[in-house]
Amino acid sequence: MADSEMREPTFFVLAALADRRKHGYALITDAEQLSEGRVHLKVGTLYAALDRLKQQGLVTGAGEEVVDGRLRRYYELTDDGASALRDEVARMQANAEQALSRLRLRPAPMAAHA
Amino acid sequence: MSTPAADLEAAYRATLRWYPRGWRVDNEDAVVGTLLDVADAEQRTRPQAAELLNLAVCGLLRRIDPVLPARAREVTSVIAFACGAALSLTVLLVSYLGPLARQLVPPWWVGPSDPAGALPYALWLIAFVFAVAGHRRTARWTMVAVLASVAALVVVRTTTQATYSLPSWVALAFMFSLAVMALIASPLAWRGARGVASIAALAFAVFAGGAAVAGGFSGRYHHERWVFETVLSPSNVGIALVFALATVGILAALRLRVAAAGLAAATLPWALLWFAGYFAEDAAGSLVSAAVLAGLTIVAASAVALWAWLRRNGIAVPRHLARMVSAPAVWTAPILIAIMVWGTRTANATWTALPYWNAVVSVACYGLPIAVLTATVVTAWESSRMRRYASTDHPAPATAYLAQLARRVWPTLAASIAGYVVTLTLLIQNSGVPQAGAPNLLVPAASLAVLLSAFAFGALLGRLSHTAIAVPTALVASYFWFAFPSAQGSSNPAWLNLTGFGLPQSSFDFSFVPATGALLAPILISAAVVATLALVLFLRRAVVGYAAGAVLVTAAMLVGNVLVAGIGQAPYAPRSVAELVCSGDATAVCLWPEQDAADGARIRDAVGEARLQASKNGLTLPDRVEASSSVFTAHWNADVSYLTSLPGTGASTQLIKTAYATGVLESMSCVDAPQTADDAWQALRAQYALTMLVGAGTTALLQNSTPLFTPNNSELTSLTAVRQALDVGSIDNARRIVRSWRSETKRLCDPRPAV
Repeated sequence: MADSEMREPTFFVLAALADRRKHGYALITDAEQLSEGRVHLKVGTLYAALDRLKQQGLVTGAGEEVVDGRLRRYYELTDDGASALRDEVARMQANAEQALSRLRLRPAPMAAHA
Repeated sequence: MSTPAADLEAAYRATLRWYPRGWRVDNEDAVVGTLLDVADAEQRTRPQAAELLNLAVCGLLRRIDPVLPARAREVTSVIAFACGAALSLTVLLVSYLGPLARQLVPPWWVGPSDPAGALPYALWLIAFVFAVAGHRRTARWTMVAVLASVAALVVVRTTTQATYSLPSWVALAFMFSLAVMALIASPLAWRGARGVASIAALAFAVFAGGAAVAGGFSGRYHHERWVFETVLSPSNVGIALVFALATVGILAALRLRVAAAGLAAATLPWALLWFAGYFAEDAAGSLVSAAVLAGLTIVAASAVALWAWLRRNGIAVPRHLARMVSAPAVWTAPILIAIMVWGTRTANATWTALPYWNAVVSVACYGLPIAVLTATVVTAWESSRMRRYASTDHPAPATAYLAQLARRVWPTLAASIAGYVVTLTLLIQNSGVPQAGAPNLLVPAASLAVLLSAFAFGALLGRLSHTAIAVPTALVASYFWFAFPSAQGSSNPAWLNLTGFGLPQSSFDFSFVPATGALLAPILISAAVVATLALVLFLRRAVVGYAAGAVLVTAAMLVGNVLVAGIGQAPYAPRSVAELVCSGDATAVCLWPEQDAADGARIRDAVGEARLQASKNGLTLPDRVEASSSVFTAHWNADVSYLTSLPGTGASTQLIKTAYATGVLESMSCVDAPQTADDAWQALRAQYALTMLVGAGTTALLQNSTPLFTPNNSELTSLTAVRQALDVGSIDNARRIVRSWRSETKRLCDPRPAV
């Protein structure tokens, strides 16, 4: 996986876990907020992603609690997960800066044609 | 009492049964909690269909995980997706986007493809473009549309009569399974767009290259099923499967498990295509093959299990017994015999040959390619394991090496001969002992020479290289040995003869005899290969031996080219007309001795009846009738009518009359093959009329030619529709049609110098 970029849902799950531990539903709403509504994770997809991230050691379980008779399982980022996210952000930032520097070189728009 | 909330939870829990039990024990409560949270937030008390579908798919994938983990699925998906895209482009180019070709020369026996058939291929290409451009979601939904379009075509096929212009069942089933494989993961997850594009480019090179070799871009119209019958024919797909599975083995040995599992799963749709194509060609044969394959798998698995059990229980198998059974020549021997016998069954679906010795010994050679492959690979393996015999410090005498090698590989030679003899016996048992003539022993002799050169070639490979190089080289070389001639077909008899591949074709009809010159060619080349081995062994200096061998083979080919007249000719030659046995007073009906012995009286009676009927209907026919094949004889002859394409022994009187009518038509036509759809239609009309005039049933003739396409390309599926379109009607009209055909072709013949 190292040679291909992180897929968007994976990125937003990791990003949503960056500040503190969260449970499933919170992850879905957070990912949606962070992506400005673009990424709407289905529950099946979310848990498949969490299983995969757990297997890769990027995410780990962080306790459970029962609220209104519903089980909430929390997840948190591992140190590896945090550094994977940091790497991905640095990659995106580098890309963005490259693009910005090119944009700065663009000649200023001419005055409107008569 | 159930509440909406409880119902919702129950629905979710029921859907979660798609997941494996172990996973549910760990995760079900947490997932249900999240699902209910989402439902609450959306103020729902009912599950959404998309949500349940997503859970079912994720659950199913979770179950596949132990067999095919997510990473391996990505490999499978990218291979399936890229191959599908390459195939789609090939089919679109060959069969749908070449409508210009259709405008130019539409062969009358192939109708136009229904444009609806192009839908799955076009959608697949669109999905490919989206995927490579990074629009994964759109690509995914387009692939779902591919599945839907295939399903729609299935419905159309089942509800319509004119099915010939639609993709075949095999093609539909294959495209569906390939699309499912492409959808089991995101193709872009493994090595990204570049990976997809490079695999697609490679696959396109293979498919389009195959189509080009088979003449797919020659400007003629080729139906979509043509691609599946030539480039993706069961034999080609079967060979590709063998190579793919060998690659799986190599990847597994290199501990690249993910790639090995992914590639193995990616072969599934192709295995389906192979089996379905084979089944369509020969249902009984394919079932027998599947049963034999399953049987062999069970035997092999039991042997492994028994071995493990014996070892677990501390029972030692005698070492020499174990070594003997595990020697490649020994365990491949029964498989070799089985494949030789059953390969003949596949190539010659009826398991019969004409009761003609030359045909019987030729057909029995169908198993030769697999014997050559086994001999080369087994000998390369054994020879390369005997490297100490080739040690430069203390080289063993050449005779010791040969004796040791012979001890190791003789079971392969014995099995090859046994395979030939069993095949021969079964053929004779089914078709009866030929009642005249004697077999031409040059055919089995040439086969044996080719086989011996395979042993010599394998020995050379093993003598000079490591097993890891010798065995794959032997495999690839044997593959090319039969892939080249079959790719070139009978269009390159020189190649067929040099390799000995033409042996099974050396005679398959009463009118042919094996061409002696052509059969000398493989014998000569084989002698050169064997002599090369001898040189390498006795000169003890590999380089010198090889150089001498190269000179020898080249010399053999040069000498052969000059001396052996048969090198560039077909492996079969026309039989001498002097052998014909003629009888009859006013009308001489001349047949080959075997035909005469087995069926002469019936053929003569049928021809006599046909002539009588024709003269009643006002048609005079030449007095001499000769058996012949249309391959060698120029049939434009006013004095003789030929009995061409006469069916085998025991054919019905009707079929004999139909064959006679065909021969009469050929002898009065000087156009070799119809050039345009209209010519072809007129020829069929004349043939139909002639068949009526000689009193033969027209049904057999039409059944051989349906589905038919009229010159304006409409497909005719029923015999009634064909009869109506041909519009021959009464005997009087039939006579008029034949007379006008006769004068028309006479006009065409006149400018041509007499043969």
